[in-house]
Amino acid sequence: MKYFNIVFAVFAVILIQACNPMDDILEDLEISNTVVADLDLTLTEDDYGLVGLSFPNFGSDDEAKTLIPDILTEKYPQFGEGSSALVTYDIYSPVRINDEYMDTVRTEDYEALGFTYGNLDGVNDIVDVIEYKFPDAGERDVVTLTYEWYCGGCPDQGTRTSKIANYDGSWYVSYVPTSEDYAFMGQSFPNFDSRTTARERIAYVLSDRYPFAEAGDIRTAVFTYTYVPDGGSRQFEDFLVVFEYDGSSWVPFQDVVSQTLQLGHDGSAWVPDNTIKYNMTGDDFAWVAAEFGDRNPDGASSADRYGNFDLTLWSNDQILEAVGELLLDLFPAVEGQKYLVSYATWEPGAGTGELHVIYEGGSYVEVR
Amino acid sequence: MGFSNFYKPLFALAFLAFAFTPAFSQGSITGKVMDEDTSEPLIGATILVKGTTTGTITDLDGSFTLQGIDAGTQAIIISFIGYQEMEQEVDVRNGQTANLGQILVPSSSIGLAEVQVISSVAVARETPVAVSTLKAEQIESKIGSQEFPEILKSTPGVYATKSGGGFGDGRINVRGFDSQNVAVLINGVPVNDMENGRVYWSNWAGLTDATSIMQVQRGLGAARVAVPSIGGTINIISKASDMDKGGYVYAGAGNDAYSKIGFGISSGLSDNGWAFSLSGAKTQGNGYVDGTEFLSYSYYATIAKRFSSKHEVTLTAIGAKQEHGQRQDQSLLSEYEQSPRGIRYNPDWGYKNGQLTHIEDNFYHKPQISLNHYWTISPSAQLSTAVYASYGTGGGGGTGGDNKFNNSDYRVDGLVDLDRIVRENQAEYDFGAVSFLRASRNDHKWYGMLSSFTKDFDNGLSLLAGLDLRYYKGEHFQEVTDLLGAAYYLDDNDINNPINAAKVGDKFNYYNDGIVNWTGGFLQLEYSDGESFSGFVTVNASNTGYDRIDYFNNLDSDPNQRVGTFNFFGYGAKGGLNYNLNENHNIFANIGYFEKAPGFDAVFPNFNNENINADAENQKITSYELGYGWRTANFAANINVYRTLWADRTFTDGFRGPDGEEFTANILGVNALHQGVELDARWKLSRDFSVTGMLSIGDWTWENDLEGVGIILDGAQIDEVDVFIAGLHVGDAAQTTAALGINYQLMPDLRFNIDYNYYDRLYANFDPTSRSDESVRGVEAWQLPDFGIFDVNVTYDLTIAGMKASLYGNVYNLANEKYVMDAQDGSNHDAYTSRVYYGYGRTWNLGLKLRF
Repeated sequence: MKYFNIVFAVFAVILIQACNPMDDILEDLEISNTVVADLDLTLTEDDYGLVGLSFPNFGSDDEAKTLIPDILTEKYPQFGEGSSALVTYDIYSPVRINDEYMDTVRTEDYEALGFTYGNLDGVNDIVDVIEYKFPDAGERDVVTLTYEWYCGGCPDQGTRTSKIANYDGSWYVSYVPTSEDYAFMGQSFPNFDSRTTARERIAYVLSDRYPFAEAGDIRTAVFTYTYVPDGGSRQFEDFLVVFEYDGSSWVPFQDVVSQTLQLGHDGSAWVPDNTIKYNMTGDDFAWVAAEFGDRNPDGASSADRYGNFDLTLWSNDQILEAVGELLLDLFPAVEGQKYLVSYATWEPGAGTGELHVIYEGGSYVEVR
Repeated sequence: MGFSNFYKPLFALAFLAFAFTPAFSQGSITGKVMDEDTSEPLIGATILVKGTTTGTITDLDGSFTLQGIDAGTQAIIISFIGYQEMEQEVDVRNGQTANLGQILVPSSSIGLAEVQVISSVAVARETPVAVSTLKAEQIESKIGSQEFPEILKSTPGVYATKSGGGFGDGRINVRGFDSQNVAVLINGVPVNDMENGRVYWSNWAGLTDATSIMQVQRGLGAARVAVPSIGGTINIISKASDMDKGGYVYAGAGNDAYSKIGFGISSGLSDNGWAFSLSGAKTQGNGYVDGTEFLSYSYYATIAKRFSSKHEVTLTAIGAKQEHGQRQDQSLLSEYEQSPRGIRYNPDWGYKNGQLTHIEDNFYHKPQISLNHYWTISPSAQLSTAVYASYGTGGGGGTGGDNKFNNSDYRVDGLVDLDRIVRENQAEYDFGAVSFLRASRNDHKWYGMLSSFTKDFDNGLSLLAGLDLRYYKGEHFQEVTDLLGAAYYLDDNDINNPINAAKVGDKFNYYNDGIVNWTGGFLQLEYSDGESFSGFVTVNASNTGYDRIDYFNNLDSDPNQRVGTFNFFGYGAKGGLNYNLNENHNIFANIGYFEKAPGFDAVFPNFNNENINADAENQKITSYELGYGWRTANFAANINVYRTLWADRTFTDGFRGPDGEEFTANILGVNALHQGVELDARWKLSRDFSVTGMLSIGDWTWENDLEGVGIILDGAQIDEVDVFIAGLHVGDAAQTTAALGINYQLMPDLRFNIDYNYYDRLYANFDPTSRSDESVRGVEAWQLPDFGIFDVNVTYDLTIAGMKASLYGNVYNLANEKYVMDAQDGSNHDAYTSRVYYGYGRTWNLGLKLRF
């Protein structure tokens, strides 16, 4: 029975295990407890409140870019490096008339500008006159101009009054509803008492009148807006609306505009980032194999056969080269555009790799 | 009343009794019990004086002493499991010791001795090789739910792991060489894959129940046929039909819903010379690792017929039809830490429509049938022939199409979101699969013949001559197994059917046959003076012919669809000497050189019939070994040193010539040197307590750098190859291993084993030829933390309803040590970038065997 003690001692040793070197390694593992996610969200009224805004919109794009990362951090502290967010938000950027000018083009004006026939015959002429007569007029100013109009084939020959509006640095001859137009738009009087109704209905008229525009074309309209201020008498004033053609109809700019912003989490904070995530497909590996048959024959035949980068056959530089050329083949090159490309690997043993690249100076380079 | 006072009279009485003993006229008997065929001592055989209850069991060297036996003619009965019961008469004289000398006990298994000759089983103190042998009883009590090769883990030079942890996915390295360089023979028949040399243990699940002897011969070994024994040879001898009628039933259970039921029956030898044995088992479980559920039906049958004293024929069939989920992909340590499943985490499975679905799995059935004929031509001449056939059907599951499966976007809690892949497949406008599941099939047929002629001469010399013929045809293709919601997968890889809308069961991607023709022969001269000197010299030669049929890359009308045979010649020579200094000490030495033909993939590196590497080079192996053995009644130890130089490890690289033509360069000079010392010992401190120990220290390193090796085409250098590996340790197997075992018989029917296995100097696996950048010069692969594992085994013999029964209990990794056993070196050669498999935590297994 004396050996029973030895057996007992061995069991004791087993149960009082010495330190395990594996534990030290695992302690040093830098495991972030954050989660990676690709968010797609629209900010709610509460979200704007998180950064102290009393209205559910931002005043400008710059303000949005400054405050959205704070909102995301506040709202989703759990998402960390590698996460992305596509945020839809509102900007309050109302179109309002700055200053109004009014004048009539006189004989000396025509002469001074070299219009020898004493009239104007094109939109360019009108712009020339405005720049001559109102050198201080600028963004969102509206000029009411009376001038002699002679334009072959154009309607309204003779003396004409137009409202010309400046939007985003360009002058546009605005559409101004006539009394008939107001009636057509359902108004008992030649004015609107609702700006929303005005925008909707004028858009309809424009779509009817100018159906052959191209997407991105801009038009302006100036209508008469009437309202009764608190404790005052009824007011009538010009109101400017800007329209953009979206390919099928004229769309008025609202006071609040929706925008989107792409952000990425860099490990410490959310930063505006245009990175597009892309996963390499089997077809992509076939394309790489075809392109790299000369440069890396072993790697190419392996990529073709297995649909991955065998890391014993592909160096990091070769993978970067292959991914860069693949992106050029797949997408239009845009300076500053980033891609996060993930791809299958063989290490040996299946794994995955990722490359974060940016298009700079004619090729894709790694983002560092 | 004092203690001593009470006992004094008793002592006095005992003394008196002792003093009077000689008056009854008694003597002693000693002897040494040995296996008749192998001359191995039989340890633990029972010696009983007939008609009495006086008896003993044999020691480590097979010796026994019976004292106080009545003078006169007595009979002793020698019995041991697996051996015929023997009765021997002895004349006992008063006060003297009758020495029976060596008592040779014949095996009770029919054909076991003969098959050991065919399979070159090494004999202690005679065959000059380093060897460790395990017997059926040890396997039976300890194997439990372990992987079959793990049973060898406490022997020197061996590193066995469960790899990914799937059923039958275990691996074994010997002296730092992986399974491609370790020969595995089952009843003398080589079972390393004919194309790539690997061994798939899941094919051989039936061996757990059917092995009678398992022997690791380290280094060159004793095999006469040409085998890839760079690291060593694992020789497995299955159970033969038993002389006695009987059988058993077995039931076992273990962790993670493990269960096994099995049976075995033996007819016994009939009067007209027939005998048969049959065993079968069903094993299933969920697996310790997530997503590794398994189910296996294994069987083993053997029929023997003795026609006369000259002819004996045995027919043996062994196989296992199994399927199991796999963990194919190693993960980063951080991925295990982040997974709620910890070390059981497996990235290769998921749920599809609520059903557990294996993305990586394996299904295979490879019956091997062998017909052996033993012909005793004359007392000094024998001819042994084995004709065998083996048919493999099955393959491994994996992924097809775009690899969304490894993409983190497609993972929920670490599992693959198969339902999302299904939804995306179903959203495809053309109903085709973007991502799906497939199997890579590897069906094969293998026929062979192994024949060995032995002629003994009077002067102690024997001549052996033999023939080793093999024909192998492997069919390789991928087939669609699950379209994951799609209607088909559009594949354009079949030149004969370029618009292949493959459905479940259809072939895609590749389809080709590999054909291997093997012709080998050997000649061996053996010498034994029957006492102290024995030795051998062997030469062998083999021709490996590789042929390939490509049904996808070549048109059916293309004569090059079948490319024709490319031949590679290999040869080897080895010799050794054993000298028994006396009955306690022996020394041995062996030396050899052989050349091994390159593998199939080195000859067809681009998986097509166009770019063939007909000049692939042989690998060259030089090895020598020196050993010493010490054996007494209570102590046995072996120590040996070895040195193996593996030169010109196959290294092929693809290049393009100036006109864009592809060709393959064979780069020589990737060499490894494996040397080391191995020690094992067994010390019997008392009849019921013994200690076993093992220490193995390897020094396995890559020899040299290749710098600026020019690739010359038509006299012009077109490229340069660098490999920076000089002095780096070989990875993938622990270079230091040690084991300590305690075997304690608490009661006659209750035995304990505690085994401690320790591993150190284990480097992550890496491909030496990938070390082509000078910045990694001298940078070792990640060295894994050392670790030690305790296993406990309890065996209890009992009688149930008149039947003998044994209860086996095993707890593996009792201390629940957390350790990494398999690692693939990472980009920074550290713990954080390497991909690993953890070993199992604590697991258990309980089994009951009833014999009748």
